Amino acid sequence: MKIRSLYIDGFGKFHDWKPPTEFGESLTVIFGPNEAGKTTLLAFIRRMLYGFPDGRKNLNHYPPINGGKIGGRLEILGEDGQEYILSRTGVRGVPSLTYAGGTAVKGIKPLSLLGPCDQVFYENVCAIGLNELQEISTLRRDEIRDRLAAAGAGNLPVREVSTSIQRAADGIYVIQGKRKKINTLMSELKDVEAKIRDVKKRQGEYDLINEAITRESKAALEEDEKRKSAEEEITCLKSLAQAWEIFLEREKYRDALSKIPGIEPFPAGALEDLSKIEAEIKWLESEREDLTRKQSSSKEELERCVVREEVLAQADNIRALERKVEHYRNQVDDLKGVRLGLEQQQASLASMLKSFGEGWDEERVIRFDTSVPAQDEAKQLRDRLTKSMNDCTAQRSRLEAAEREAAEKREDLRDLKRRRDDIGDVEDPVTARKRLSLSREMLGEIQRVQELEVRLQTIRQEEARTAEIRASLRSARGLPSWPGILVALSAVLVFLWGFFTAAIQIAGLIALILLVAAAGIFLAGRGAEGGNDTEVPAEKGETLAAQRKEVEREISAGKEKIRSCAKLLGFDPPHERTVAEDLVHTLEDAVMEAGRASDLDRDIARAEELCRTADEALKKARKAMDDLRSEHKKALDAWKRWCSERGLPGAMNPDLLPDLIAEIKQAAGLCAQIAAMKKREESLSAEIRLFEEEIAAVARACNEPLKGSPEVILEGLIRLLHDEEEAKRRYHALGDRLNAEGEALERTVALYAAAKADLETILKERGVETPEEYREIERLSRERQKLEESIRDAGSAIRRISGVERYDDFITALQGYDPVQMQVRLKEKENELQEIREKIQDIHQEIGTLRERCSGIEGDDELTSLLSHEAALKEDLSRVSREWSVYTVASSLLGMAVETFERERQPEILMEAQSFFTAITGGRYTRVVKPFDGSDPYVEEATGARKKIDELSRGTAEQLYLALRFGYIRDYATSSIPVPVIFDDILVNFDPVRRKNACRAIAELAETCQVIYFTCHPHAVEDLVEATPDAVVMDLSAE
Amino acid sequence: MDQKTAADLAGATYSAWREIVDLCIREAVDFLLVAGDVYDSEDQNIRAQLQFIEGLKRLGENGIAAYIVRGNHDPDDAWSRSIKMPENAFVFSSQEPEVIIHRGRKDKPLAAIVGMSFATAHIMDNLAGRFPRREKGWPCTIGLLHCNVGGVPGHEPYAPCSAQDLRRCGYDYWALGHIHQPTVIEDRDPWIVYAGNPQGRDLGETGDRGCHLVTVGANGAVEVKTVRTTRYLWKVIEIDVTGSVDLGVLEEEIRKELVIVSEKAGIPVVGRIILTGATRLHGELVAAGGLAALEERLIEDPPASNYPIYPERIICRTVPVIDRDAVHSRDDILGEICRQSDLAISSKSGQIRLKEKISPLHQYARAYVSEPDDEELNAIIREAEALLLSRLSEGERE
Repeated sequence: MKIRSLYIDGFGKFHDWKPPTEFGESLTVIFGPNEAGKTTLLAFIRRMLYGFPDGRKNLNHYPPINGGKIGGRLEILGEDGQEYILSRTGVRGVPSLTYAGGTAVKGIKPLSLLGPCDQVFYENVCAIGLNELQEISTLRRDEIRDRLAAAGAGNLPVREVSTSIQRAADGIYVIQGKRKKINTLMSELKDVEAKIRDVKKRQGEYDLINEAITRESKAALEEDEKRKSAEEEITCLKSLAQAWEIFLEREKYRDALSKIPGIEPFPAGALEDLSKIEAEIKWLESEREDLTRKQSSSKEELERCVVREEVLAQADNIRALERKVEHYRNQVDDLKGVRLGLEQQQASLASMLKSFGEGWDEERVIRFDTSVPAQDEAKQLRDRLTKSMNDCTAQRSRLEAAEREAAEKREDLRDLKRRRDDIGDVEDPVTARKRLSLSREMLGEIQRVQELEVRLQTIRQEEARTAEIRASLRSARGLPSWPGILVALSAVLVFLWGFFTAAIQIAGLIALILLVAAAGIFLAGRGAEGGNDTEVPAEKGETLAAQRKEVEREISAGKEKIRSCAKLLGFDPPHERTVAEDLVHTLEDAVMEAGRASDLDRDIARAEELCRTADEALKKARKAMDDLRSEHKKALDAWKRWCSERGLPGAMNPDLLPDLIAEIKQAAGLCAQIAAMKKREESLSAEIRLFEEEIAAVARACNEPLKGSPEVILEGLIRLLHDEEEAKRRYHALGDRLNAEGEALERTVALYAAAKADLETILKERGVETPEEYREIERLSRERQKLEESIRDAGSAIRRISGVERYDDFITALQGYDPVQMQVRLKEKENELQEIREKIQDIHQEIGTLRERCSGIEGDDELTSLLSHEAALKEDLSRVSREWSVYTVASSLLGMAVETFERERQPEILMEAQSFFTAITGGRYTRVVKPFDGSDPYVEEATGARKKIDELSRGTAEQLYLALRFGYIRDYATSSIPVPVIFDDILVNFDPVRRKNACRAIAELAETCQVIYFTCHPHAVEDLVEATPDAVVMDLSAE
Repeated sequence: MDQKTAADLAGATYSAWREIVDLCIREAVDFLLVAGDVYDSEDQNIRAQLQFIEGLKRLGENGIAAYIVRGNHDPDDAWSRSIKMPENAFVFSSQEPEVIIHRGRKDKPLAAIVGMSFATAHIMDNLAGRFPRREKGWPCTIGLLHCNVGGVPGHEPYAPCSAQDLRRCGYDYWALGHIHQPTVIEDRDPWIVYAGNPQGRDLGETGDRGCHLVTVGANGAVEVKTVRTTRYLWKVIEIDVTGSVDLGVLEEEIRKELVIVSEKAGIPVVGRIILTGATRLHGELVAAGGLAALEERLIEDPPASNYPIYPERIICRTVPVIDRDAVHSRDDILGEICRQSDLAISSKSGQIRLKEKISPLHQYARAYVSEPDDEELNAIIREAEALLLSRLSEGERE
């Protein structure tokens, strides 16, 4: 199958594109620089054959960027000689196959044109890229060996796959291996099985455990019966012992009761009632005496109580004075404070006046003008003075700077003039440069004249040599004719020898050859004699003469020009080249000096201008300084005038004035405060006097003496008024109390009589005379009741111990009870009971243990999960074993396949490869050998020397790789349907010789199948075309 | 699957039994028939017996009787002596078929139940042949038996009988045990029904499981309704992955398919995933750890769904995307592999040679793994061939 042409609807940069020519039958070279579209075209051919890859793949999908739908057509020449068109459109487009005329092809699948060559095979075998070759240089030696082995076996990753499958199998199981997956699973499975056996064994014990529980429960019941019997007997013995003491008490009470006579019981509280009446009588007697005594005391007290009415009459006045006394005290304190403050202020004022100096008193202070306008005026004067002073200072600095600037500029000017004087008079730069140009032109011309003179010399020598040749040719002679005669004679002799020895045919042939040789020798001799060899040197001599004249003319013109330049420069024409070069150098220096002088002249003009500017600035600064000094003097006069108008010293510092005004204002304030304080002192003295006179008047009205200060007198009056008011209230209270005491005495006497009558009645009821007799018979009655109650309680206690039903028997038993004997028996029974209890506890403990085991079995859900786990593990084991079997069988199949392939197919492939390898290496290597014993392959040189694959240089290994690939392709193409093969610039790294060899190998391969070669290297195109003259070259440069 | 779910799955059969008891109480049935193999005596599982008794007691508390025959897994001699049947449960004799007349209100006879238990595990007699013919005056008559009707493969041939043996008795309904897959052998005159087990135990017992709610009308008409008792549905999920080229995309597709399966099931599903079809991922799945990684991710992080789905494992039965016929016709190593595998399958000596290669492992693990038979060996050879073709073709560049 071959590709004839193609059409791209849309693919990468191509849209509606068809190659300019058809593909070649054998070799097609697709040439173009980078980005011309070679790779795109290569991908298009591959994808047209095997489909456009799915969009999910991480590949360049070459979307049509210039329009069209992805896809197109391939025009194919089938093996049957028919022309087909394979069309494919869209990523998932189904390929369609038609005949060239457009008729649909039936019964043939599009890809069947490629035979058994599927995509993987095509990529592995029929397409070779530069990357594959370049990769070889990055591989290790053993990897190169593997890669070459693979190249000879369809480029399949046999070794990697074999290793990987073996590794996977070894991960599962290895004979004698440990810690493999299979070991782990079996070990785990055995553990689970052991656990299952344990659980099942436990489950099987369930019935036995239940039967044991039943047996133990029965034994426990029997022991419990014994326990109950023993406990009853012990209880009975303990009851008798418990009741014995009570019984003895009961007997004692009964005996005491029999000794007390029978008396009617007294009601509850009889003694309390008697005692209460007796106590009431006693209390009433005492109360009566107390009331009588109090009444006489109250009468005496009322008589002693006296009241002063004149004091009570002044009560309102005294209270009014009392309310005002606090105000009075404050006023007295204020007066003291005012006087003290007055003294301090007067002292401060005197001190300030003294600090102002002579001539200052209160009046001048008050009169001095400290108003805001006056202060503002003073501030303006001060500011004017300060400003004029600052301006003067600043201007002085500027004046000094201007003086320095002017001096510096003058110094610079002097320096420049001195440097210009050092240079002296020189030409102007334009003239100097013109002269330099003339001198260089003259030097160039001198050099040219010298070169022409050398050439003239050469021509003259050549003319002389030509003349010599012409002379020698004229004296030469022709070739001799005797060798021809000798050869012809030999021919005759050979012919005669053949005639006489019956070898006429051989001898005739030799004689004929000798005759031809003799004729040649004669002709050569004549040619040498008859030729006109002197014509050529004559023509050459004329040419040389013409050249000589031309050179002589140019030399004359050059010398004329030199003279003209020397004249313009004012020198004699130099005869030596060095003189001209010195002149050029001198003029170059003159140009430089002229340039420097010109620059300095410009700098001096600029410096003079700067000097003038600096002097003008200095003058302006001096004038401004004078103006400012005048202003300062005016400001100082104004200030002095202002001071003298206010009596202040003219030399006073204006900055001190704000402080002076502030102090004068403070002194004026003090004067005002002193006047106000004097007025306050007078007012307070008048109010105090008026209050003291009111106190004296009230004291006189109360008949009280006027001793002490007014405040002391007033306090005495207030105390006196309180005393008299208290005496008045006490008099009224004593009268009321005397009346109440009289009424209480009468009520007490009546109650006393009633209580006496009640006592008499109670005593008569029991037939006794005195309360003591009454109390004795009541005590006897109470004791009898208590004994009867104790006897009842003891009976009840014994009944509680014995029980109601057994009471009588119990009492009888107690009547015959022996405490010592009974204790011994109780001890025996208690020991017996303890033994029974311990036995019961043991039985219950055993039952508990058994029940615990039982419920463990009943609630045991481990078995289900263990069985599930066991099943899962068995399945895992089965699966893993199967995996191992698949890997192992795969390894075996691969081994057998490789062995068969190497035995049956590879020798032919190696033969083909060997042919290519020999061609590419220019015959250096003649054999490629892969021994059947499985040992490593090797190559053999023409000399017979052998080299292992890993002993080859990288370059040779690449060429061997290519040869093996070519061999495989040719073997496949001869045994199956040949398909177009694609090479992508595979010869880039070959040296020119081997590249040419490889091109010849490709040409040889192209005889078997169509080859499409992509390249961007023109020399590769040339070599390929040279090796395959009918190759089609498709240039994509224009695309 | 987390630990709680695993425990729940292990106890799913108990849950299914409780579900049956709840159904009986909810529907106020007259009686419950149990056709044997309540538990597996080989395990001597006391908990299973107690769970069964507890369910019967609950039925008794609700006035529901239970009629029970023993099967080959729980014959008469296999029950614990310590566990007593409650009064509402009647266990049929293992000596001879017994006839019990179940009576309803006012002592009205509702049904005649004829049954017989297994005395021991291995009963090879035709017990059905010993069942009496229906007598006159018997109400709706039910045969209760653990047996293998018609020799169903995959189950032991205990108490073998034919459908004709059963028909001969003239009963209305045969409630049978032994076959775990719910099966209706006859759907009238008489009904012959295997209720199956109420919960699948492993992936050998896929599909819905339950019990039969049987209603007999006044005219003797029998209506049978299947009620699902499965808590976890075992399911084999076959997914065709033809054309898949990316493992990540494949995982997403599997997840989507699993969600569809679980939504359709309406209950939690334990699924074994089988991947089929021709895919370029074949080699990556079977030999480059792709399948193990996929399985791990799906088991560790099952797909989110309204009903949980627990992937149990993934079996890969994919094939590589290769035209085997075309490859076979080539003279290269791939073609040779095809020819070698054909040769190994077709020739006895080839099979013996490969069996020898894999026998060391089967010898080593003979207690658990048996040697593959010819059919299995052929399948292994084909898988090995597919693996090689797939791996060797991985050099594809586009």
